[in-house]
Amino acid sequence: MNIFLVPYTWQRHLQVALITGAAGLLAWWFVMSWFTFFGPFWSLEWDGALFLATCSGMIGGAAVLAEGSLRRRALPSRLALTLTAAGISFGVGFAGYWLWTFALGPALFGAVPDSIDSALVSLRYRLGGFVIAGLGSALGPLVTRKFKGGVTQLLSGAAAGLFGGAVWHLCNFTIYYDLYLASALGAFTWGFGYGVLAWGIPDELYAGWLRVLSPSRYGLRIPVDAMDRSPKERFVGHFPRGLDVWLNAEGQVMELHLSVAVDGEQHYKARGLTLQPTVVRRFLERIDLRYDPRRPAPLETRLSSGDRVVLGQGDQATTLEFIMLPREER
Amino acid sequence: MFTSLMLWGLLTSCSEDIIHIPNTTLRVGGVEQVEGTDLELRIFTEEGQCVDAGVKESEMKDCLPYVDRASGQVRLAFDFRYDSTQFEVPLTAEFLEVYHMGARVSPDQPPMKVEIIPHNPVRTPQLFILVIDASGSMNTPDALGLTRMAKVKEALLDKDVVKGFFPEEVKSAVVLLNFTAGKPVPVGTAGVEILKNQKRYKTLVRESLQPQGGYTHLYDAVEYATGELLQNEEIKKFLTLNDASPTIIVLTDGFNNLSAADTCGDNAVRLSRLLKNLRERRTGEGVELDLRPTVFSVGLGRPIRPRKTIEDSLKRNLVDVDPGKLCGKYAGSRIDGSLEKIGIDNASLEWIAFHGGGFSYIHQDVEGLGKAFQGAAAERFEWFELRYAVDQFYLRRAFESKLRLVAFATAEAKLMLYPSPWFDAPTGTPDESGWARPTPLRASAAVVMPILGILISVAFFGAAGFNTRRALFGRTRRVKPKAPPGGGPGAAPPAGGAG
Repeated sequence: MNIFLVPYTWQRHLQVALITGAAGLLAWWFVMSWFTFFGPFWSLEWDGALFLATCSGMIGGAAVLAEGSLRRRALPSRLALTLTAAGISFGVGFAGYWLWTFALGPALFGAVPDSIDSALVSLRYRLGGFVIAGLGSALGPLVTRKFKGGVTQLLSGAAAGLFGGAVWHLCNFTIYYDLYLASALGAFTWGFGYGVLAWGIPDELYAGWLRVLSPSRYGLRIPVDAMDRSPKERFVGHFPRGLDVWLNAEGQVMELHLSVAVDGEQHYKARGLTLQPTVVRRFLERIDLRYDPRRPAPLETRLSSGDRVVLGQGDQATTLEFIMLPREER
Repeated sequence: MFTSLMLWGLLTSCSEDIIHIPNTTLRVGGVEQVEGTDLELRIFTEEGQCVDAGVKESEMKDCLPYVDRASGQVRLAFDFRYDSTQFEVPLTAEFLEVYHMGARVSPDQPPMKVEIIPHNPVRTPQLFILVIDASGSMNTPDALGLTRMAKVKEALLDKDVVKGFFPEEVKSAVVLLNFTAGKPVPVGTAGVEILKNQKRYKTLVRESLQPQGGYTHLYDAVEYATGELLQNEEIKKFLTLNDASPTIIVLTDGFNNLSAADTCGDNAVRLSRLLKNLRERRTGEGVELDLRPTVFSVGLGRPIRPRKTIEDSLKRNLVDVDPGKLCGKYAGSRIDGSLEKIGIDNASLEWIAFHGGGFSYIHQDVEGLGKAFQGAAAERFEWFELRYAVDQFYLRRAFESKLRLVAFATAEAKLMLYPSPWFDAPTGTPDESGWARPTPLRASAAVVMPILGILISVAFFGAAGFNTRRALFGRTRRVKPKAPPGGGPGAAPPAGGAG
């Protein structure tokens, strides 16, 4: 994964999910192919444990690998964390299967002899295995992240395992009878669900930028954020001693025309600093920020990626855009 | 520590009885033979058994167990063994009962279906004893003026039937008898003659097989053909020298009828006696499997009772026949001049064939009769492929398949099949007859690769869509600058400008 290929749109939240979904699918393919081609070296009772643990391990590992790639961690560190997370997820998924099969399942649904029949595929006796393995897929990444986002991660993992188990069951017994595709879809849904629920790409990987769209100084851009992510404010105008963005007065830009500020929580605001027209444009919305002398403070509005700020009016107006780009652009 | 624990667990939990079937996600347990049967029914679970059974390399893929859960189909292959050597039988689906998890798989109840595909046909030496009804009713003409006996003769002279009786590969022969009252008598000769060539057979059928008149002593004819006749020195000698087995084909167009006052119900006791004797002659102590008689019955006419009314008795292997079971509402009806005009006693023929290890055929035309004779003279096969289908629901878990040979000889075996409950190999591909064939593992790439391709594509869709949108809204190209009134565009900022 590469943050440069992930624009700041709602679709960025699917990127890790695509990776973890693919990991789930590959885990299924690996186990199924091994079983079919080489034959199992394990016994019947271990099918479920190994299948769920492999999916759990690969999904957990893929999530950490994706995060490491997005954050550009050093390769050895990235691999070490990936293997650690995969190992933990595998182990938890593996142990969780037995915990469910021999303890939790019988405790919840009664000690039905069939509940330990390894060939029985009723959802009632298998769903818990998926849920615990889903927890396992979240626990590996959680440990490597030093328990950051604990509850969300764990709940997401459990929910993803639940979704995976439900899809596995529905495709095999309700919608149609095909355990081949059902197991593939179940593994994919599990991975994808986990990615969607737990791995939206954080805003901290992006920074706000001001970029000039007008012909004069077209393409000039500056980041709004400070390197240390502390609050910062950028100024646009043509004050002779220089501002953050220097623009020509002929473009109807005033000496100190606009400021764009970011706070500690990475919220961006535009403030109008002049009596001349200053308009923030976004879809179905126009906000006039020109300075009102009757007010003690300048008018301000939030900025989102893609918003445009028009300085001045008519043919001579200058246009800026506010855009979120990967922080590494700097 | 954890790894050691895992390995220990894996090793200690492995079961030697359950083996994996290559290229599937199926495991099978050991084949369990039912004790006290004539033959061993060996279901193949390993390639070595297939090779041993004479399965060709090209057919090896059909030899090992296969389960396609998406279509609810199961495939097994098997052969029969007698004293550890392969024993060829003329098996069709009617002769084999298939049980899935203890319930009979009935082909007449969709979605259940059963098909037997025989492999490696072989001809075995046989002595065909044709016992033809020569009572007066065989002279009855049909609408076209063709008498029943003429139809029989035409069917017996059919080239495929003759070829079946006299195969080129092995030495087989025919004994031709007809019967009315009393013992059956040889056709066209004073004593029992073993017809060893086609020419003599055709001559006798064409010239000497004629209706004689009189009552139909059907049971006595079967009794004689399966008992006294087989003690004939010539016949014993032929069977022994040629290692042949006796196959009796009895044909009638009516009922067992000893006198004018006989009713259908009167036959119950007589049939019971015959069935007991028949069972003794086939399965009694000291009877060699090769020499036991196999009885096929052929009815010429319309059956008076639906087969399902007697199926239960057949299933339970009953030999005690009561009038109700044999005749139903016709138990008190007189045969002579009454029942024989309605149809034929198909119930008796079914019973005789069932306990005689053969099959009962009922036909009214020459073509049907020909097929019946061909069926009785059928080739035998070295190994068989069984395909059966049940509702997919019943393949959700491990299941037991049981096969039982119900004719010719007894054999029964069962096998536990353990499809993986978590995942499956690629779903089978239906062939032209609707049976699933295994799909190679490489076909799974057809599922994985497109999805991975889509995932990769979708990963770029975000960037592509973002850039396209920006391009459409004019944010990625420079608008042509207007002539500035003063101070050129792009003039350098003063010191301390944009950073």
